[in-house]
Amino acid sequence: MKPLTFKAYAFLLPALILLSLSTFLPILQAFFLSFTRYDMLSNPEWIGGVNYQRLLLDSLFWKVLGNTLIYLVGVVPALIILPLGLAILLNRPLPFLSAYRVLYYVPVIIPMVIAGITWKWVYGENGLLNGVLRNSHVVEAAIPWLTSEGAMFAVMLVTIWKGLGYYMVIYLAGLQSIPAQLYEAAALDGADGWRKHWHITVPLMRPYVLLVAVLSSISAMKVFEEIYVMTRGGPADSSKTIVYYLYEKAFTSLELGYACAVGVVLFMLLLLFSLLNARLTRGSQASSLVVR
Amino acid sequence: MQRRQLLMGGLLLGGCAANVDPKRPLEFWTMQLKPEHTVLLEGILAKFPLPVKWVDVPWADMERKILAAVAAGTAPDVVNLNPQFAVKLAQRHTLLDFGRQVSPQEQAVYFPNLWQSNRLNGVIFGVPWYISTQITIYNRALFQKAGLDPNQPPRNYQELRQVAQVIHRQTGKYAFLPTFDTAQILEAWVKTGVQLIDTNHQAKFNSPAGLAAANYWVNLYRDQLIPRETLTEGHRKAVELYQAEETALLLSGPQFLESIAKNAPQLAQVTGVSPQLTGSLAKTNASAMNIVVPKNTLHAREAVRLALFITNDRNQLALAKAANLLPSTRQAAQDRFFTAVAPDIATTGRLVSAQQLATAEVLIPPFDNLDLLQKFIYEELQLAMLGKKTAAQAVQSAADKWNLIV
Repeated sequence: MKPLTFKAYAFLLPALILLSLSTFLPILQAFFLSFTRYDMLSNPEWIGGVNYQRLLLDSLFWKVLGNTLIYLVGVVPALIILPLGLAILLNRPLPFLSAYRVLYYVPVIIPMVIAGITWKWVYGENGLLNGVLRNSHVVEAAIPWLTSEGAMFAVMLVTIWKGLGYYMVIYLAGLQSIPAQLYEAAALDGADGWRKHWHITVPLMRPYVLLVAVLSSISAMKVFEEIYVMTRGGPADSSKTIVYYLYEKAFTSLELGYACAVGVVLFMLLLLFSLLNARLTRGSQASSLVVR
Repeated sequence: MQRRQLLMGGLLLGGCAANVDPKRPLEFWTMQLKPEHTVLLEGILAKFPLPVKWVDVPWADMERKILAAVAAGTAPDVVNLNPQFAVKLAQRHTLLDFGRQVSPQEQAVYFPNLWQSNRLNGVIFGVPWYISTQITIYNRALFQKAGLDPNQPPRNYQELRQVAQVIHRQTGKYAFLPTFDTAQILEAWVKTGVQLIDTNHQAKFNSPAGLAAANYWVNLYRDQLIPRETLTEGHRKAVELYQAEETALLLSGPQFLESIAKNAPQLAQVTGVSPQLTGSLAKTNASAMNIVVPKNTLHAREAVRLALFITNDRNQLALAKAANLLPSTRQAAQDRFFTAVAPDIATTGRLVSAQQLATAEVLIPPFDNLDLLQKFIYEELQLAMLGKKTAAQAVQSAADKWNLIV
């Protein structure tokens, strides 16, 4: 081994050890435990693929998986499109620009627990939203935002509200990396605002759009805090997602072996998204180079 | 000081301290007693002859923390748990059997029904600590506004429904918020004569009484007599709604009267209290907080001594006075404090609660997977409330789920 390579590995080693202890080892352990019956308080008992067979027959598992996919479909497109529009708006010389940017970013720094509790008040039967709707005669009776089977859609809005600022910053970074000469050249060619965005901004922002798509997809697949704080998966499991189900199985029912099997399935799904990301990003980088 | 030395001597003579590392204090975990009772409990623990490290854990975190600690072999020596949490540990044989560790004389200090309520599969898994019997806390002004007699609060569940109808009709407010995060609804089922399981642990609640009980709660929801939030909120919200005068009644322990007096003093002025709602069995329920000792403690004897010390007459009385709770020992319950009459609502509530103590019992004694039974019933009840099932289908479905795991 060359001395330089050795040095590089020596520098990488501490991080690798930490990662092994905190991430890789638990992943391996979870994989092993998914083949056992384990309640934390007694030794794991090897039961082969029983947990996975049970998953196939567990109607609640399929329901929560479906809920998670609905969540993904509901949240991800909004988190791709809305922050992009917002970033385009805030990427121009406007009065109080910094103040706007800060305001849109504020929800990102509010802890989810606080945001969740506040939104529960907003969504309450006698909450702000119902009050406004009733006083303005839009509705007569209060809308059961969090207490009907559509509760998950109300929670999705909170996720979107909270994520807007974060993804907007990613887009802003991307927008600011586009050379101004391209817009100037397009203007000389007679392109108006929309055509400039369509032919310059959108193609050059493709890597960022993909990044946001992947990040928000992974985040949506792992959604937990919003559900835990606002609905606890209810009413009647209608807003229960896969990570909440995993948590419930592990820490309420003490079925850790089964929870690990759920975790392994989630891991596979996330891996799929990450591989998809790697593939798409590679392509987009190549295409963006061609454009440039 | 002399008393402390005597106690220390007693422990040493009994061979209790033989394997105690004097540098390592006994570890004692409580559920959310800080900061309200910090000074009191520190004072109590300072009088114990061995050093004690007190750790207060938030209520919501206790279950996960204690499970993780027991699993990792780092459990504290003594833990304050409620019966639901304790049962989970007890059914996995991780708690010390107080029946073997404590003499009959020492056991006789406690109310026998409370002592026995901690029996699971022949093992006494904990010592009863402070107890609470639910009372009915109600807003007299709201009763008056609805045209109800403020001196006639509901006494049973049938009257509660009638009151709920009148209050909703006259004021647009709700009578109360039932809580799915406690055993409140399940206890109400038992009070109305529902037998949950039979001697073989098979479901017994899929009976006419069970169906009637399910219909009662489902109809309260469908007739819009209880808030929609019932499906997703819990006891904390019930207190909040009562304090905001959005509900007319709060079914809870007297300890919440002090926070009502503090957070909503004007409401406290018009708050009345009455005995716990009863059903056809005319029984009242008591809920006890326990002290348990994990089996893998290295200091079992000392831990048991500490559990008995914290729950002795004198210390229970001090805590009960400070927290407006009731003691689980017979002598402490005789104290004049629990019979004294005073105009403030906290004292009146304590008096009503204490008067129930003689006849109150733990209506749902612990059994294996009790938490799962409650979960199955509540889940199905919610589906029926949402109109996804009939009450009969919900009851049968919950029974099927239970019988499957049995």
